[in-house]
Amino acid sequence: MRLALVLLILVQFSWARELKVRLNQVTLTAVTLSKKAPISTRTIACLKKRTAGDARIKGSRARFTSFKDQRIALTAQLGRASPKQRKSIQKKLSLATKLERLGKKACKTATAPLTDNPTNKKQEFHSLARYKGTFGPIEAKILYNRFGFGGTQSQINDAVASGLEATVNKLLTPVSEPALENQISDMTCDTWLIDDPDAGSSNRTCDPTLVNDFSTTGFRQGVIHRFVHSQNPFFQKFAFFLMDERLATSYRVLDSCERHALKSYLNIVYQAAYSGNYLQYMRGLNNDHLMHFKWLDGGTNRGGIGNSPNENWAREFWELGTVGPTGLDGKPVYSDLDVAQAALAFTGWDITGQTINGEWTCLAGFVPLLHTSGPKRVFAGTPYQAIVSSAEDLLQATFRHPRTAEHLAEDIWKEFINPFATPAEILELAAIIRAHNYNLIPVMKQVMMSKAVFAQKSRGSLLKHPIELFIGLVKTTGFPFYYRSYNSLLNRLEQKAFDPDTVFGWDVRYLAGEQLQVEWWKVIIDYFINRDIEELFEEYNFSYYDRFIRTLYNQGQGTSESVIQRVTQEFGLELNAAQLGQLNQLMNYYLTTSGCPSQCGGLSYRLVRDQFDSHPESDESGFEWNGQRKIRSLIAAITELPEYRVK
Amino acid sequence: MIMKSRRDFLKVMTAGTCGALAHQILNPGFAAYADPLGALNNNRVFVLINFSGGVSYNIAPPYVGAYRDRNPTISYGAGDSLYLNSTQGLHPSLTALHSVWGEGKLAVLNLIGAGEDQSRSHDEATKQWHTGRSIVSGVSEGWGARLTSQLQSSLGGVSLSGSNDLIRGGTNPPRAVGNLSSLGESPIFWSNDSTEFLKMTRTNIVQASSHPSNPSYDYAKESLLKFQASAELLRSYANLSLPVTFPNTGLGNRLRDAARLIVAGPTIGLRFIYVEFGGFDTHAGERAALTSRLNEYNGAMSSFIQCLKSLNRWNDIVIAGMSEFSRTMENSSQGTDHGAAGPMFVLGGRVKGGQKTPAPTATDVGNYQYIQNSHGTFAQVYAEVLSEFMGLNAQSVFNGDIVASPYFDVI
Repeated sequence: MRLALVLLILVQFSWARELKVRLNQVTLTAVTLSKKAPISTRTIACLKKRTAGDARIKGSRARFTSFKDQRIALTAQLGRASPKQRKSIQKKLSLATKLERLGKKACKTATAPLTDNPTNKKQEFHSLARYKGTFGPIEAKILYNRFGFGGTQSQINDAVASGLEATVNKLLTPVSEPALENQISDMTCDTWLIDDPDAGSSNRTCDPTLVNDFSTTGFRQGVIHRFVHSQNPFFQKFAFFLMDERLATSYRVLDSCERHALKSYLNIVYQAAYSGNYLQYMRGLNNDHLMHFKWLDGGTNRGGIGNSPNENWAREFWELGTVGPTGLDGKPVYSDLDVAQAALAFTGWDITGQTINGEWTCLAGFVPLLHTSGPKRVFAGTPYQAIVSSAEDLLQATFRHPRTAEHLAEDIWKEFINPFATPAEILELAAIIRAHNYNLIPVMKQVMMSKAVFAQKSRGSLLKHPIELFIGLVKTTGFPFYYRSYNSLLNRLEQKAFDPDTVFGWDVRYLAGEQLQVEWWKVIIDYFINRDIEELFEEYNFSYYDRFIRTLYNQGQGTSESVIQRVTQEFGLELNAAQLGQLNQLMNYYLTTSGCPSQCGGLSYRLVRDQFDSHPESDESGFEWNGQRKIRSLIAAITELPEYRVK
Repeated sequence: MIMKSRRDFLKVMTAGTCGALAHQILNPGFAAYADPLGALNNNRVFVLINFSGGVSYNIAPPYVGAYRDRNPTISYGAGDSLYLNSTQGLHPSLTALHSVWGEGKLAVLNLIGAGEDQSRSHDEATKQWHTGRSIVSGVSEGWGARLTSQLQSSLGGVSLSGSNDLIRGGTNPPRAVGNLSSLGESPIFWSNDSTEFLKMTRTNIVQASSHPSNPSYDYAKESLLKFQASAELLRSYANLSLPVTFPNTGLGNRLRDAARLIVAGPTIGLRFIYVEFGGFDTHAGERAALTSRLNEYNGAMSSFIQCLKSLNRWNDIVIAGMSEFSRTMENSSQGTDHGAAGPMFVLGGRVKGGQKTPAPTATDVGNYQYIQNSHGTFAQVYAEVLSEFMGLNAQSVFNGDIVASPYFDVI
């Protein structure tokens, strides 16, 4: 009897107890297992914010297994294990012991709800572990489309040859570009490049001692020119992410005496993009003339007796730049009173004019008399409550709040990975961000090399911005767009450089909506299809033949099928046989409605054979008369497809 | 009366005049509309204009001293606003609305919000107003999409301000149309036959696709196919001549397009139009900023109302306003920050005009940073338009029991 009891106890404790608990008793948090890159984190479940373990949903309840029970069970198993089994059980035991220890503290502030993704299973499209699969042209395109604005064929070929890690390291290593920066400086002055023959007398030299002596149109144009031509595609994309996904601002609010604020703002963005230092970025914006003092009214936010502070910056500093309005549990992160208190912490700035080098210049300065001094309480009534006095105090208190990293993780995930993150993934990525002290370069390296980015379910799961459609087209085809067209082109697509309608920036769903299909179509026609071919050759040395056909023709593969194969691959599109067949029909026929329906078998159209001709002759047949038109049709058709509009 | 089900609705309708009488007896708080069968009239269109950004109460300034004291540089009194009654006026720019007030066809509703958990965040509050829910998280379907799900036409609703949460989801959502006249421009016809060929190729490629379904790909595909369909249906109205000239402003152009769609309405079955008009987030310098926006609004609305009357469609249209929240008392920048419930306008040929809920009082103003009281929700107001004017099932649009307010009665 005693032996049976002992055996029963041994058997019972060989498997960890699984408790059936109510769903709302379980919350999630993340712990950092290893701080060595790539940083390893683990989402854990917490029962009643006390006991750490694993959980899964079964029916209307959760099944919870504590790490303590897992440890006890594994200890019992270890005692009975064969030498062969001991190593693996010891490993699991060490992990359970570590998670139990880490969970004790972490569970006290766990608030994220349990989702239907179990904490102990990880699907590829959720995993931030290193991707070790194939890295071919398709994968290289994914990398450049998501972490650049697309890649040239040369960049894609290099990436495939180098492999994923080397390519990522290259993308994360800045390259100096003095020639490009000189061009941008030139066009910022007067919107023209100095060697542009059409500039004529419009070319001028700006006075470097006068901070406002430049053109805002040229400035906006220059930003796009850098996006298109920079050899640092990741840093351009990351700067765009900071300017769009976080907080956006507009040049429209600046008077002529304070145009210089555009340049200061852009410096803050690029410093953050290249350094990855997100805390420094928000500190910079706290003191920024354009974003804080003008766009979000900080320059008229007055403290002191009888004044109500202007809450604009305080609200957006939290809502967009840091913690976000609600947590993973859907509950508000801050109250209206918190916002009012934060607004007081930001008081004290004023914008005044003075003459500098003979130019009336408006500058922002801190005026202590305008600042509401003394303690302000923020995040009141929460575990993150803090007493702050200055904007810097508020910044530090905000970055101590876990939601700052979580909100950043949410935005990084939905901009760069996929739309499928659950609280578990957000917590993991947030833990990685905090482990790197908000230095986002190593964070982005881990993201760029993760299984989640390359998982099948992630592919084509993100919408491209209009600017990505445009720059992607330029980079893939090498097609020359006139630099002075950038602003008007993007205006038509409603992604106006430095001119969003609100601080929320551009809503990619809105920009990908049906109302802008017309405009994208018109852009393709006006800027691409209707471009004079001779002008393209004479001014830019661009030839459709050289770019798309010559190599194929010389290899005896100048057929429409080969061209279609090449072009769709260069665009990174995986089309099936039926789709390729449709493109082939486009290349080898033309549609006519004349004579219909009597001559069209009752239909409103008929297709007439007009074979694609890649022959390089310039008479009434051949590529110049036939093939060029069809290549342009092909590219127009491809860039309209949903396959091109996602990444 | 808010119908609890289609069955109730049909019972009343098929009972005819007797039903209307019975309806009146059973629901003494509401006047039965004089034309019960009119609600089935497919000519009736609901136009919703969003003052995006959160419009200040100074669009319909309360005259109470407490409000004026707390807004010393940005509020208006009886002497410098358009007088409605002793408690309230209209912003001096709103002369077109004031004329409609004089005709008895403008309803002014005060302190209308999104409910008890009204958010003061632009994004979250707009979602509340667009989805018709008081709890934001997890909601993705717009009430505009639920409205058009009840309509037969595939073009039952149009957003002239592009894609947004209001029109998302549902089985037959409103279309996102930008500039209507661009659908008729010749550049989109590269050459008629070439364009037709590209269009045909595009459609065939999309339909042959084996790309895995995911929300982004599906959305991109849907946008492309819908654009083609919308362009076919709307092309002939894109440059339709109207009896009135509209100002060449952002809102003027949108309301001109709305007028064209209203002409098209009976033919294509269009019953709902949404227009967004932004720039109302007046954190600083409100007096000038608000006046500028309302001048544009007034110019556009004046033309729109005249056009509808000239087309003999004024009685077929209800125009209602929305804004994600109203605003606070004046701040140190002569502006206002994010508030909560605010004023709403409802106008049209069949609207019963008047001040439907009281203007903010001294008690409402109190010592609060913003007025925290509310007389009702937007869902209650729109539900009345949907059921009384359009003959639709308002309960299914706003998902739940709408508690009818005794104050409203706008139709």
